Order: sequence, then C-alpha cells, then structure tokens
Amino acid sequence: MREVLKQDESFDAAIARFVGENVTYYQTRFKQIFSGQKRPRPNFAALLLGPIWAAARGMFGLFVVLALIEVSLGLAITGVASGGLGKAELVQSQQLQARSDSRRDQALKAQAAGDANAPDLLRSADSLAKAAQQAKTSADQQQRLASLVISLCGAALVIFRVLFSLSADSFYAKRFEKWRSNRQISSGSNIIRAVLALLVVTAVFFLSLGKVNPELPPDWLAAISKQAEQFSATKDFAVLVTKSLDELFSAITRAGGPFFDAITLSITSIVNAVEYALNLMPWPAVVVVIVGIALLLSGHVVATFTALGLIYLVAFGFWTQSLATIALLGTATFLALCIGLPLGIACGKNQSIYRAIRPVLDLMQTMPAFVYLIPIIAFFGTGKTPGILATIVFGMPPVARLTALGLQQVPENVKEASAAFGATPWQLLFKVEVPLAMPSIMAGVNQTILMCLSMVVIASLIGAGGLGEDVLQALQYASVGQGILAGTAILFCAIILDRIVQGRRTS
Amino acid sequence: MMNASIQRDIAVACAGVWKVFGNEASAALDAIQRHDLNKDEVLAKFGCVVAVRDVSFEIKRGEILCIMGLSGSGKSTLVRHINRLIDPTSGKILIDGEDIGALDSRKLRHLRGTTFGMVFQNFALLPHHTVRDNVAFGLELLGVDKLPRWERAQSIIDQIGLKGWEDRYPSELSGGMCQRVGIARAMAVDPSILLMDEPFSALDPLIRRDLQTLFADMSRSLNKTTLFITHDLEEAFRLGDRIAIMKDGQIVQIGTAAQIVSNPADDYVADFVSGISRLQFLKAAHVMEPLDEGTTPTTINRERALVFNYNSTLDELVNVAARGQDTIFIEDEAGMIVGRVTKQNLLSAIKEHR
Ligand SMILES: Nc1ncnc2c1ncn2[C@@H]1O[C@H](COP(=O)(O)OP(=O)(O)OP(=O)(O)O)[C@@H](O)[C@H]1O
Ligand SMILES: [Mg+2]
Repeated sequence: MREVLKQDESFDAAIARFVGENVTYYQTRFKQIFSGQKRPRPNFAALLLGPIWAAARGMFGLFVVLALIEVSLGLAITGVASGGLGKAELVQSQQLQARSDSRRDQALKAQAAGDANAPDLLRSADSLAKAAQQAKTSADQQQRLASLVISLCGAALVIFRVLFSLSADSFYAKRFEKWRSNRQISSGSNIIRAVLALLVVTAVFFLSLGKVNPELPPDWLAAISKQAEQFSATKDFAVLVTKSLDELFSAITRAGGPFFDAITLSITSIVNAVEYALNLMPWPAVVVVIVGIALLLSGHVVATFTALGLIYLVAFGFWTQSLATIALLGTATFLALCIGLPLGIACGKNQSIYRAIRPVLDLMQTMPAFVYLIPIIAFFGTGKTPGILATIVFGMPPVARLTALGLQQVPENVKEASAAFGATPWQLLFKVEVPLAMPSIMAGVNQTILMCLSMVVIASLIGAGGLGEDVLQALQYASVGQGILAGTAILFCAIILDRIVQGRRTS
Repeated sequence: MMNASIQRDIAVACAGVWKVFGNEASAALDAIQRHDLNKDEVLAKFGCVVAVRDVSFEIKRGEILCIMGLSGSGKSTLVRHINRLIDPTSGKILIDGEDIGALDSRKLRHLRGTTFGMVFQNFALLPHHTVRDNVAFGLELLGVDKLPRWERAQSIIDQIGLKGWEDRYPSELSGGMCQRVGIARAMAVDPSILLMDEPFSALDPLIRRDLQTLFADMSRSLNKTTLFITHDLEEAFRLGDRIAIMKDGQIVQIGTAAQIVSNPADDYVADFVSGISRLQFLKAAHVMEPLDEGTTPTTINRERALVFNYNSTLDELVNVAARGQDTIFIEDEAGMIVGRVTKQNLLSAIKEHR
C-alpha cells in the first residue's frame, strides 16, 4: 500500500472514512466526546453484540479482554445451572467412600488372618469414610448455593455488558485518534471480522464446557476434547526430537573438540593469570591499590565505601574467594563487553542487523541459565571456562542493547552537521556518535556487570569456584547465617566494581 | 578566452536539479516531465513529494545569493544538494566547474571539509564539545593537530566576539551565542563557499541584526561565496547581492533586489515583495531629470557644483539636499554630466515609491 503523506479532509470526512457505517451517529458522538461531554450514552450495537462489536470494529485487544471475561462468566453460569456446582465434590465423595469400603474389606480380611496392621487399616478406612462424608456435605452445601451463584454471575454479566456499552464510544474515539496518524490501523466495520470473532468465541465456549460440567458436551465433542488431552499427554514426538537434539550435540562435541579445547585453554589461562596476579600481593597492598584507584576515578565517597567493603571481605574470611570471584567476573565482564559493544554498535548503525539480532538477545536473557549450562558443560566440561561462558551469555545483552539504543538516539542534525564537515564514517562513529551515546553505553556496562555478578552462584554450580561456592554450601546445609554473609560479600564486590567503572559520571 | 574567464568566475552552478522524495521517485519524475504534473498531483498519484523542481542558477565567486521562499518551498533541500548531503534525482551541481555527483566518497569528504562551511538553522553544535572544540571541529576532522587548530579557533572566536566563552559547553550558551559558534565553526576551515540554512531565523530581531552585520562584514572582507537561505525579506535585501525566490520547489525569479522589486516576475513575487519600501533601491539614475536647455555639461562649473555618480543611492542625495543643496549634478561612469536632481525630484520620488 502506498503511504500517502498528505491528507486533505475535514473532521467529519475523516470520521466518516474511519467508521464506515453509522456515520452520523459516530460524528455526533465523537464530537460530544472530544468536546468534553462526560455524560455517557449506551452504544446499542455494543450492548447487543459485546465483544463481537469490538471485533467487527477492528479493536482486537478489546475483543480479547471482553470475550475472556464474558465467556468465563457464561461458562460459570452454564456449569452451575446444569448442576455442575458441587459435582466435583460429589464425585470425590463417592470415590472416597469406595476406597474406604475396600480398605474396610482389607482390614476385615487381615483381622481374620490375624495380621498385626489390621487396626491401622481399620483406622484409615474410618478416616476415609469421614472425608467422604465431609465432601458430601460440602457438595450439598454448594448445590444449595447454586441459584445464588447463577444470579450473581448473571448480574455481573449484564452489568459488565452495560458498562461496556456506555464506554464503547469512548474506546472507539480513542481508536479514531490513533487511526488519524496511522492509516494502517483497521477501520470501518467488517462482517468477516465479526463472523470470525463469533466462531472463536463459540469454539472456546464449547470446548471448555466439558471442564465445568463433564456431562454437558455432546459425545462427539467430548471425544474431541479427550483426543486433544491425549495428544498433549503423549510424548512420542518430544522423545523423537529430544533424541535427535542429543545426537546433534554429541556430534558437535566430538567434531568441535579441538576448537572447544582451545577456547577453554585461552579463557582458563586469562582467569588464572588474573587470579595469580591478584594473589601475588598481600591483602593490605591490594586494598590500598583498589582504594587508591577508587579515589582517583570516583572520588572520596566511593573510596570510603570501597575501603569498608574490602575490610568486610577480609574480616569475614572471604578474601581468597573474593579474588577468585573478581578474576572470574572481571574476565567474564571484559569478554562480554568485548563482544557486546561492537555488536551494539553494529545494531545501532544498521536497523536490519538489529532486527536480526534482537530475538537472539531476548533469548539469551530469558532462557533459564540451567538450559544453556547443559550444552556448555557438554562442550567445555566443568570448571571456570564454562562458568565464564554462561556468565557471558547472560551478561552480554544489556550492553549490546543499550549501546544500540544510545547510537539510535544521537540527534539526526548533529550527524548531518558532521557529514557536512566531511567526517568519515569512523570519525562520525568515534568523534560524535559514541561520545553522545556514552551515558546510555555506561548504563549498559553497569547492567552487564551486575548481570554477570548475579550469575556467580550459578557458575559455581559447575565448579567455577569463588564466592558462589560459599552461597551454594550455605544452601546445602541450610545455614542462613553463612548464606547472608557470603551474599553480602558478593554484593560488595558488585558495588565496588560498578562504582569504580562508572567513575565520576554517577557521583 | 572570454568564456573561460567567465567559467572561472562561477563558484557554484546548478543545472536542471530535481529532487523527488519517495519510493517511486524516478517513476514520478518521469511522469512529471512527460505530463507536467503539479506537486499535489504527484503526491496523489505516486505518494512522492517534489521538493526541488528543475532549478538552475549560478553563483559568482565572492557573491552572496539569498534564497527566499515560504515554508516548504524546498530551500533546505536545495542547499543540501550543493554539498551533496542529498543526491539529486536528476540534474548536476558544479563546484568550481567540477561535477560533485561524479566524486567518490573520499574526494567528496575532502571537498566538504575544505571548500564548504555550513551553518544550520537549529545550530547542530556538538553537545559534548566545548565552544573551542566545536569551532575547531572541521580542522579536527581534517587531522590538524590540537595546538594549531586551537590557535585557529581562537582567532575566529575573537573575531566573532565570543572571547572568554571558549571553554563553555553549548548547553551553557544562549541561542545567539550558539549561532555565533555555528558561524565560527563554518569559518574555521576557511572555506571558499558558505552554505547558510536560515541561520538567524531562531533568534530575536536585535541579535539577528547584530549577527547579520557581523556576517556581512566577515563574508565581504574574506570574499566568501555564500548561499544564504532565509525566510526574512529584509534579511535577504540587506545581505544578498542577488536574490532568488522559490515557490513549490521552483525558482520563480532571480536577480538583484532592485530588479525584483521594480520588476516582479509574477503576482507571487509581487505579493512577496509588496511590504518592502522601494526607496532603498532607487538610484540617482532613476530620479534625475535632463539638464536645462542651454546648460551643457561644459558650462557647469565643476569647482562649485556638486556632482554625484548616477549609481548613488537616494539616501546619499537626500543627505546632501537636506544640508541645503538645491541642485545636484549627476555624472555617468565616464565622468560625463548626464542630468541633475533637484529637491523637487527627490520629494516626488519619495512620494511615489515609499
Ligand atoms: N526526507 C524527506 N522525505 C520526504 N519529504 C521531504 C523530506 N525532506 C523534505 N521533504 C519535503 O520537501 C519539501 C521541501 O522541504 P524543505 O525542508 O526543503 O522546505 P524549506 O523551504 O526548507 O522549508 P522551511 O522554510 O520550513 O525550512 C516539503 O514539502 C517537505 O515535506
Ligand atoms: Mg528549511
């Protein structure tokens, strides 16, 4: 469809084009609404048709919400009216009674045979009978409530419908406002949409009938629902796919062995080098150095905080573990930034790259860590490297996303001015776009650091070591105190790292 | 020989430039040229906007050409063609005789960096640079070292009256100061061509006048070729050597202020310039009357009589007349006395043209 930029039409003509049918009614109504008349008036089509009206008028979100509410109320009423209320309890009571009877038989037999647990069996049979009696009472009570429930639900349905019909024109007017600037939005009233909506509502209603009262649906429908339930319960297909996935991954593991080994080796050597370097100095020296850096980069408030945090780590015996964590985390964050920043820049510069990458980033952030831990362990074994890789997967997306966002928000006129002064693409990027996107990029770096830290415990699950191990131990022995201390230690590491990296920008 | 020297005198030349915005630009252009559609028809048929429509003009070296027109008449689009921030749908732009459409991206960047200075309506300063670094931005892009570029920036900053503000950021400046920075930034690379897109429109009248004077002085003394876009008729008449008036993407008239005022091409132009007082364009030549019978140029006592060139403005003549001079003799370029102006002539001219 061709985008027409210029529209030349009066207000009335626009409304007429939007509503399609019933033009004069909506013209007067919209004008009343837009001139601030608050007195609501029912829209009779909406009163009569409810969600179907919303669908016919192209408001699908509204349709879904309305249909859900009304269909649920309708199902409740039908269920109760057909005696569904208390039915579950009745069935339950019958089942319990049956079990109690059989238990009693067993007990009698055991008594006859002189078995020692006969009294136990008898007691259990008694309690089952009692439970059955209780269920029966509650079923009776509920059946007595039925008429009340029906009238309440019916009233709710009617009131809801009336309220909706009173506000329907306002909803439609809002829709009209949106449509005025975006003509792609569906307009007019369309019989096909209405029929489709009706079909959907009916289908959902009848398919759900079996749930509220098993006796209601006709046999063929019950058969269909049963088939569907069975289909969802069978695992054949899943087993098939699981098997081939397993095979695929073991093939990759076998084929990529040397490659994975190389990655493991290089990352492990980085971490070990960092950890070794950190361990070279005695803790007082390290504290002095870190506090000094904090003072230089971020001012005295952060430096004081850093000193306190480091002393905490030393005093509670977390020092070595903290260094291991910092080494792990530093490496993971560094690698995440090395990947995330260029990726973010590419995404910010090129919309189609961003569109392609974004689902992957979403996936990396939402996929539970344990899921990708499995292949990572398959490829890299246990230890520090898989821990770092898992951390990177989780920690990298924010910096990529926020870098892209920052670049996209650089004002167009500044970019144009730079081009007018002869900037090369690289100059534009590094002299203009990246500096202007810096606040956003730094927010991304901050998020990445924090995300990486939140993975410390999970990484230690696969043997990455560090403070996460303490937390894990605390979890195993359910020792609250140790858990809190170790958790606080992780917190301090995170805050110190982040504040130092953020520098004066935030202070 | 003659032709070549004229060629060398032309700094900027546009030949048949068209710009159509939209997905089906070339199809739309084809149809326009074949069927002579107007703007609205093209919009309805192709969903394309015709922003510039067959524009041709030349700017001589050192000349200031003002382009005027209503909002949406395509002025900004046109000026962005000159340094190829926008590529034309069809047509050619020649800078110093060279077709910039044919340049590769490296040469184009070099040309933009050295030959053009551009000033924007919304300033478009770099918010993360100080005034000094903003002014030096063009030099920075050219790879000039810090010290020399700071020195150059400082001298421009002094000239433009921003001394003492070098280390401030744009967010700390007023609009007028920001636009001074914008002008300084454009001047810093010492470009031969200035492109100004409504540089003063966002400023209040007093500051605008200040900056107009400042700009006119700088531009004249440095002999810059300038394409100056404006909304403001008085601004155009104050600054422009020549003025082009645009309407719906077309240039409807181009000429000196006097030509346009005394001889508007159509009703649109006439309407446009109707508000302006004609007096400032009247020259002695327009108001003088022939010499009396019997007075021949030779009988005038050159020692005692007052003689003015026939290009003198009415203003100058009025000044003299106000001091008591009754008759002013007018001579042509060769020094021949060709006529005279009396107080009566002056008064009736003022009555007629005010
Ligand atoms: N990128 C673009 N895409 C589509 N149409 C555009 C684009 N840029 C400009 N136009 C259209 O081109 C026409 C001329 O715009 P232009 O900005 O050149 O006008 P102008 O004379 O500078 O106006 P103003 O005085 O308001 O700045 C307008 O109709 C505008 O809608
Ligand atoms: Mg403009």
